[in-house]
Amino acid sequence: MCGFAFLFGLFVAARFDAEDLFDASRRQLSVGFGLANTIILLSSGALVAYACRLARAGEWGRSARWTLAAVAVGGAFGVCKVLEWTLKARAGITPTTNEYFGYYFALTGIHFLHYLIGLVALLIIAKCARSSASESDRLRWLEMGAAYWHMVDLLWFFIFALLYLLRSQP
Amino acid sequence: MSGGHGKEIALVWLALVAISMISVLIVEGAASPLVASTAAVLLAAVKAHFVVSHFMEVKRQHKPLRLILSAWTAVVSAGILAVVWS
Repeated sequence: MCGFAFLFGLFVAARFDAEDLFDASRRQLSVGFGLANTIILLSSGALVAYACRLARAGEWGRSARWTLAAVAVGGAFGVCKVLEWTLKARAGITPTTNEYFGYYFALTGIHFLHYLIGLVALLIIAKCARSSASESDRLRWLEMGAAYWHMVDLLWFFIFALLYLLRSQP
Repeated sequence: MSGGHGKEIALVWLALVAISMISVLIVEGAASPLVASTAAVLLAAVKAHFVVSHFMEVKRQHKPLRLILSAWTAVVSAGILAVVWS
């Protein structure tokens, strides 16, 4: 979280020195992609939250199913993100295009790595929901995995705001 | 989703989606760049608060974690806005 806070600070500082460039580059992003990805992660987070409540109520079977549902929905974020990067690459936009896109690919790329870790963790946790481990252990794994997934979501809120929504011109 | 658990989560989800769409509408609308950017950051912070309180359920337990996440959100938001407004 602190690492991302540092990167956010670097981004806004760089934006301060090159507002026109950053704004012109921002306009080349699709806010629709960003909004879709935001809603996808929110939805996946909601499903994980529900899975946690079911687990606390002892409903492990249903909890595992809803965790898998969260993985399925969360998977759509990855598809959208790869599609967005592909479209950028086809338009000739790469991390070396300019400073803004350097930050764009760095922030979304590092976030994507965290996202992948979270997705795999949720898959493992869903599998472990029906294992023979103690209920307290299974609940602790689920809550830790869920907390990590919500952190991925939280970080995306600010990445979306910084990259897609901060504008300096009408 | 069923029962009280599902209803609360569904309502929070709805609020989060609405806030996300509102932030896009504000930025894409006629608001000045400063207002639009401020709204975008503040609404991101509001969403973060909702996730911490209602999805992570940190309001019910783990007070230190709630404080840390709230502090992180506040510091990040304030830092971004300080540069945006400078």
